[in-house]
Amino acid sequence: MINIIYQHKNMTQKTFGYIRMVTAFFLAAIMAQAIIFNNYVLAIVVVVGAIAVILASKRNVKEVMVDERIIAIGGKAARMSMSIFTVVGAGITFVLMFSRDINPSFELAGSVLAYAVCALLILYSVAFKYYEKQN
Amino acid sequence: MKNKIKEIRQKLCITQEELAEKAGVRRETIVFLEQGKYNPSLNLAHSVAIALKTTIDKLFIFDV
Repeated sequence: MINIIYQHKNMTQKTFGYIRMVTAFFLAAIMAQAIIFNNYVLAIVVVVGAIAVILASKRNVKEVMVDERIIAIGGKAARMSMSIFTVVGAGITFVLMFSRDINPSFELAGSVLAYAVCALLILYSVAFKYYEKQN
Repeated sequence: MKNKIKEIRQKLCITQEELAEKAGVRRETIVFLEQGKYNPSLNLAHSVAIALKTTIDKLFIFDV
């Protein structure tokens, strides 16, 4: 794989996709083993290695990978994901909170989910304000 | 918004891939532009117009 990365100076998106897929496969497999054996050093090394492989490959891709249409699609997808997570998360929070009589741990799960939804909304608002000032 | 990208591109014998490379975008973006499914930014419209050796007003038809 290292040969593929260094020999393909003009890599296509297809080759890059293949390298990314193989890297993700090995990353998942090694990470799983590292967690099972409580070897966190291996996990960190593998993550750093995978990032290095992907960045090195990305540098050799000759084609344009991200343009304004992709950025616009990313924005729409992010907004929709946030909306869905917020609405569904709030709904599940209510269900969990009202079900605390069934199992007391549901209250904790509901609280965690509620905080996660709030944190996401705050993060979105901060990011929105930041980009609004930039453009 | 309609456009004459495909028509002018074919007259100049340029492939979608070549036009994408000249305009600095993905080939898929050129496909969507030609089909009228994507409205480009002023920057992209300008880049495409330059790549096709024409002007924005001749390339895009604003049907309001």
